[in-house]
Amino acid sequence: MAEKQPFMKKKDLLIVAIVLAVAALGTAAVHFLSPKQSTDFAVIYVGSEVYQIVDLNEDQVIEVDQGNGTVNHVKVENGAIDMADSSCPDQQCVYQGEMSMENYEKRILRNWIVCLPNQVTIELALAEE
Amino acid sequence: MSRTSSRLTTQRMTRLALLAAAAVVLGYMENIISAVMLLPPGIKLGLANTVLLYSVYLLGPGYSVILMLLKVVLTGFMSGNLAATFFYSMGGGSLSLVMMLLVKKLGGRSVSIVGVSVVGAVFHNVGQLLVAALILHTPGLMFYLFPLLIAAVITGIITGIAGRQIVRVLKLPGSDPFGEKEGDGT
Repeated sequence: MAEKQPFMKKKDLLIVAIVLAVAALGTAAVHFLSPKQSTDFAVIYVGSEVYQIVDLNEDQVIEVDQGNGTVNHVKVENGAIDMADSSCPDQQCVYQGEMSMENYEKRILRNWIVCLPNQVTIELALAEE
Repeated sequence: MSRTSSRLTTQRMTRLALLAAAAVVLGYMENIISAVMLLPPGIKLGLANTVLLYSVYLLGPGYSVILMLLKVVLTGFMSGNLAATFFYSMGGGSLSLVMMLLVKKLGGRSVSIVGVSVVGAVFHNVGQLLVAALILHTPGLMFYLFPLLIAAVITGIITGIAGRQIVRVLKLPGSDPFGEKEGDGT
């Protein structure tokens, strides 16, 4: 009897359809509603506080040292910004790669680099046209 | 329902301990797998959710809540970052479990374990993202919900199928977790 059960039932498909519809609408909304104008700046946050505003035209390495063994290094090179290294266990932020005004729309995290364990985030500043 | 979840017998307690251990180990292995595969943040298979599915279908809501709490606390202690990990997995775990129990109850026999699993995966991501946005005060990050939803549908279906096999193989003799005995009977 168990083998005859369909792989998904009607309401399963309904659930999947609703979730995919929300995802599609949301993706479209993000695409059309988010500011398009580039700036030359990125903002580094620690928790909810602004740590530093970074000029992307200036190659540099910024140390974000929170004083309790939590250290991140943010690198700016050729207009692109990335998390060069981090003291966090999962290194997710480092894998997120570099982010620039040219590539952010193709990144899954768009104009953000996020290090959840260290609560360090980098936002590429965008402006309304 | 009341008979499966009201009394904490030794047998059920042992089962709970085993399941908690399995959930923690699966979650831990999965972090390694995600790191090796370079998956985007927050996207993972949700293998530990197969354990919770098992418990939702075979042990009932009460045990599932205890199991979820055990998993969250143990995972928190295992990570180097207790507070942060605790809040993220608590946000994801509790919302996910509540929604799975709700959908299973409301959906009755027209929702299968695969649908319940998808709902669990979706709300795990919703919960974690809400906690992240709260902790970091960055509502701007909520856009990430949409790619996460698509990932959750895929991973939810996969873990749902795995969960169905596990429930089938490990169910107690004579129990009927999928409600197959009455009704269509095929």
